Amino acid sequence: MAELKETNGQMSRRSFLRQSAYAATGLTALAASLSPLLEYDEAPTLDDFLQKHYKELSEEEMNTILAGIEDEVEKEYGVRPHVRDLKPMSGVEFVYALNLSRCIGCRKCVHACVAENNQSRDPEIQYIRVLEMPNGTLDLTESNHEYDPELVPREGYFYMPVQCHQCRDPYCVKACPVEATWQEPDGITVIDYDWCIGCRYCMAACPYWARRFNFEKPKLNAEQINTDMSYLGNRPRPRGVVEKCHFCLQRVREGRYPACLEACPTGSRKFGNILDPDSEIAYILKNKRVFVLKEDSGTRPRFFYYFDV
Amino acid sequence: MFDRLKSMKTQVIYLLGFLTLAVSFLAGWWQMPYARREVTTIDSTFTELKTVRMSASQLYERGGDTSMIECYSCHEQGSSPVLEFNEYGELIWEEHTIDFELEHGSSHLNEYCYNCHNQENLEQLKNAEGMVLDITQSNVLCGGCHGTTYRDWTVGIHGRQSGFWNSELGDHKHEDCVSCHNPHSPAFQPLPPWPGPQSLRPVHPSSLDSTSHEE
Repeated sequence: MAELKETNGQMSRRSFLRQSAYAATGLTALAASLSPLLEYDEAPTLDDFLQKHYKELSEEEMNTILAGIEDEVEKEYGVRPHVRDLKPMSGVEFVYALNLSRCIGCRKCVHACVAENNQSRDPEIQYIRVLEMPNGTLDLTESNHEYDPELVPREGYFYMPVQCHQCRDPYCVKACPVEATWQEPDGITVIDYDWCIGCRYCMAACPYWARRFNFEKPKLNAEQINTDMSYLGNRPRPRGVVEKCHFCLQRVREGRYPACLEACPTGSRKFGNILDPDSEIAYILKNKRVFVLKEDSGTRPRFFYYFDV
Repeated sequence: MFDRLKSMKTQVIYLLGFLTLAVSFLAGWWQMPYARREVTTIDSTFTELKTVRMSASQLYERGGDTSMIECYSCHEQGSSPVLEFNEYGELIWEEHTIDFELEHGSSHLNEYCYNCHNQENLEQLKNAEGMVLDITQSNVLCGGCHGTTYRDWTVGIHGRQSGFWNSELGDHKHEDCVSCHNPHSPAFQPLPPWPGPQSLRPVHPSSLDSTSHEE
């Protein structure tokens, strides 16, 4: 810094102007960096802040939290949902199979999932990603997920929907630094949205690009909120958390099929309890030539693909 | 190095530069828009679980209009339509009450009504072994040729399902063959696909059309 002349211990005009200009610049820069706070409207309450991890919650605490979620959704969207905490059924392990000979790539499953699970419409989150692959290869580098022809299926291509495979050896669970995601006894890998810090390590770890992040506050359509919600499943998520397919646990833990399966017009999707030897999924794994994606990665997915004809 | 900073001019230049930078962040000059979709309602066809057709058994069950399968309301009892073929062996048919195309199999060898329909009684079906079936037993008829598919269907792994995977908690429902497949033209027609993933790649503002929402 140049030597500043000071007269009689007082600051000169020049140095005053210079220093105030620097101060003004500094303050402007500070204001610019803090400007996102202008949009911050989700300051947590003390209860939110002190909320424990899902696994440590007692039943009363959980009921209070569920009531709180119902209140919030009602305030925001005008409909009061019914939020439950569904526990896994015993003796059940869910496995999904998909018949690639039948999938026509219509993406009905994608949008049925969006409707069922209250996913953000803007920016749009879709748990299921349908890949268009040329016939004769399973090389995923040849896939195209942005296909938009007039009609599907296109000649010479087959269609492979990908969603969370609920792997038996999940990398995402290992990668999470705060244990916001873990695998439940019925095989579903779940996320506690109130515990997730949004670091996205799990997204980096997943070999299947199954997880989605809420970069902005999810915008839902109030007319189409699915009010049948569960804490770990399809309740509306806050900004800054990761979400993914959870096999519609609000449905399957009550014995129903996931929404994607019911929507599929060609019946390509099959689901069930693999621990039941008479289930249709057990029949498929025993009798069809099933394979998994990225088998060499060692994740041991619970999502099998097969060709039928 | 700091000698150069001593001059007033340099300092003013830096000052203005940082000030502009600060204003640009505050005002959001760096933000690139991307093509955003509006928050629309999801078309109910995605969540619609009805099948495109109804089988005869479903029709009877639901008390629907069965005039189409009451053949003797138009045809005479005891007489069955005589089929005529052109010089190439292709079936010539006149317009029928049911508006349909006949294309069961790409080889055209199946264009003979009495392969499936019973010539003696039009309201019944007859399979290749000569077994007479009621029109509500059409699944057995289909299974006569499409055995592997029929086997898969009885186990529950062919075709659309809905309801409960856990039979103790509710009914598992699978559809009849003809609820999805038109028996006269069973191949599924291609559909237009629904919208795919919204790309988060930034786009130049001039390429955004008027329907997208700009920031």
